[in-house]
Amino acid sequence: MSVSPSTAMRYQQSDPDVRLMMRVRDDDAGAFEELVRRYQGRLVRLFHHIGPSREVAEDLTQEVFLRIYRSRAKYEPGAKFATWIFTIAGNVARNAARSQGRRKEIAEADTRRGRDDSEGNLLTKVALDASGLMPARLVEGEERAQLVRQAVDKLGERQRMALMLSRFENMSYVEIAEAMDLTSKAVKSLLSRARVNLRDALAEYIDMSGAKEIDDETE
Amino acid sequence: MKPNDRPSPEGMLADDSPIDRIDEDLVAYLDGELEPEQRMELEARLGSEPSLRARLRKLQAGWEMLGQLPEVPPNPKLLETTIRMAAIESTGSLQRFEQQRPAWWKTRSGMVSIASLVAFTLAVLGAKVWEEWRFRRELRLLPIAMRLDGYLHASDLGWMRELAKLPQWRETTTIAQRLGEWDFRLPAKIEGEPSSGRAALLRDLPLEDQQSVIEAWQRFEQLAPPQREAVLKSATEVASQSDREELLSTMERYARWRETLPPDLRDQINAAATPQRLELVATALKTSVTQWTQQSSRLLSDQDVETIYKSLHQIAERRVKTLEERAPNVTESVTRVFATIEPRTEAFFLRQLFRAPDQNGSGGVPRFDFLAPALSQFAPLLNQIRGPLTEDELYVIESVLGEPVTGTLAAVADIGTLREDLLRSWAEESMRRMSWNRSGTTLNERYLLLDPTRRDQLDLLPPSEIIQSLRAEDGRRRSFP
Repeated sequence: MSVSPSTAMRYQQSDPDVRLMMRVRDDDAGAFEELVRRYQGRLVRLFHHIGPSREVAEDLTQEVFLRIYRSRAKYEPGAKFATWIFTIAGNVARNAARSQGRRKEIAEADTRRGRDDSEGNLLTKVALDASGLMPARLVEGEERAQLVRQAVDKLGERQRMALMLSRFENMSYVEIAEAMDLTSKAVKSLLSRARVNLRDALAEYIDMSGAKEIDDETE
Repeated sequence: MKPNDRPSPEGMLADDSPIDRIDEDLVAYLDGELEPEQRMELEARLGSEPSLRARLRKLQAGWEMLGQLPEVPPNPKLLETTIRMAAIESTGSLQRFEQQRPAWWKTRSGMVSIASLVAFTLAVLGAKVWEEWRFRRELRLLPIAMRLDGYLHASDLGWMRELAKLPQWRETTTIAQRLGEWDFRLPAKIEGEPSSGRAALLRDLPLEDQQSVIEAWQRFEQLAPPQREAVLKSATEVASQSDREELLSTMERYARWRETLPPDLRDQINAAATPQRLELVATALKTSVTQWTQQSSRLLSDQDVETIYKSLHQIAERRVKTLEERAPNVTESVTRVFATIEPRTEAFFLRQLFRAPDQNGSGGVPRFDFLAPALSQFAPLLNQIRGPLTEDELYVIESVLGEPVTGTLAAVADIGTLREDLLRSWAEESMRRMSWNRSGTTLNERYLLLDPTRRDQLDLLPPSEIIQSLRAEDGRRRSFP
């Protein structure tokens, strides 16, 4: 939407990254490098957690920065810089997921990731699941990370995005709403569904680690 | 983006699946996003219902398990390749490559027969004429597309005229405008430009505005033919009215506001006769103003949040000091407790202290011990100084805020108690944000968030000292002023 001069000035004064972007607008290459430095880690993490693989995450991160660079001349601060860049990230992720090539890539990456999980681990998990032994032991380290990842993968695209912005970017509902072009109320519902899904997907592991504490509490 | 971009796995809630209201409230509570009244009610229930506490902890446990996701440091070469790719674009190498194409093309074009070239040219010309005609039509209809929701959902002109007379409506639209909730300059700008100049106008628009225009046009194009006909008919009817400008203004504001209402309320408003409809709208407008007040916290920069939080600390300290006569050393004891408790608990304490007394009779019991048992011994005393921020205290907060947000306060100073409501909402937001900022960041994140100069200084230290310094940065922020 249009940005009034006072809004632009407000963000320029309050957000150092907006000031950096204003320098990028004036073709300051050093400022662009600084922005990439500041945000590449956060974007790679986001794309990695919502997407199929690290390689794709880095490609999409580059796409975000190139979009910003291409459109620098028209930049007007209308939001916190972080909100703006994560809005672009959401668009890039969506476009990528829509394209045919990307779908193919996801399928391949999923297959790859399945292999990366190591057949041994998967077979062990399947065997343990089948025998009902799984809940009897604690899952740890990489295996736990893998279970969390699988739970996150089951979420819908918007639930994953909102969850990651909330968890890793500490964004408020208002900021997430702005980044995802939703109302705060919609974000509240979206995050509730995501958290309930997460709780249910990880129920047996949560029960394992917290059952005793909760039982004590409810007695 | 559509709600269901892919089917939900069995047993998982899709974006539009019904959800248990209590889960929604528990999640909002954990995120510090519950409205004060709801939060108080929920805390009262949490205090007395172990099963609800268990439910809360399970939701929190799932959330905490996200911390198990691996750190994903970017490839060290990513920065370099990104800069290089941007540099290639910047120096125009790509464009030069494009410009070189005709020479290469010429050698191939010799193989193309003249007849096929003529046929090709005619086809291209035909397509161009068609494209040109279509583009002109799009430019002509663009203002309608930009106000699509108004024509779709607010086409009852009699009702729009009634609404425009409603005092609450006029006040609410003023508030929305002053808080920056609504901005209708883009449709007006496009409509103000004759069709012939719109192409140039679009080219000069900022990127975000171009995106908005494209999205509006796509929505218009995706309408079913009867719906599109109805929109065009409504636009023609509005254009013939003598109060056209005011009607359009009410229509687009009403359509935008209507979007924020729950679907069942929208249906109720639609179905009601005019007098009841006006009553329903007046009540819903009040709720909207409350929501916008809370949403205005997005204006706060991190620096504003820290400044407000610091003021709240000082205000809390002053309130604690008033207890000295009744309980010598209470200030010292509370300060000692604050030096040891978790940051989130500290924010929780402040929230309890600045909370309005319970209206429902269940909350006479102070909840200072909810997360910090160490504070329970002071609970009866602290309860005596508990209460919402007073006018003087709000002034203390306002006096330390910077220009951009004080400008907003000044803009709404003449509207009822809006200034006070904004300040209270910002105080709440600062406690909420500070609790997350302080507890949610890893060392790596803290490092990335540092000022570049400070980061450069840290880079010169041995790794163990870098970690120590980052921990100290956090500790320094946590101490009670």
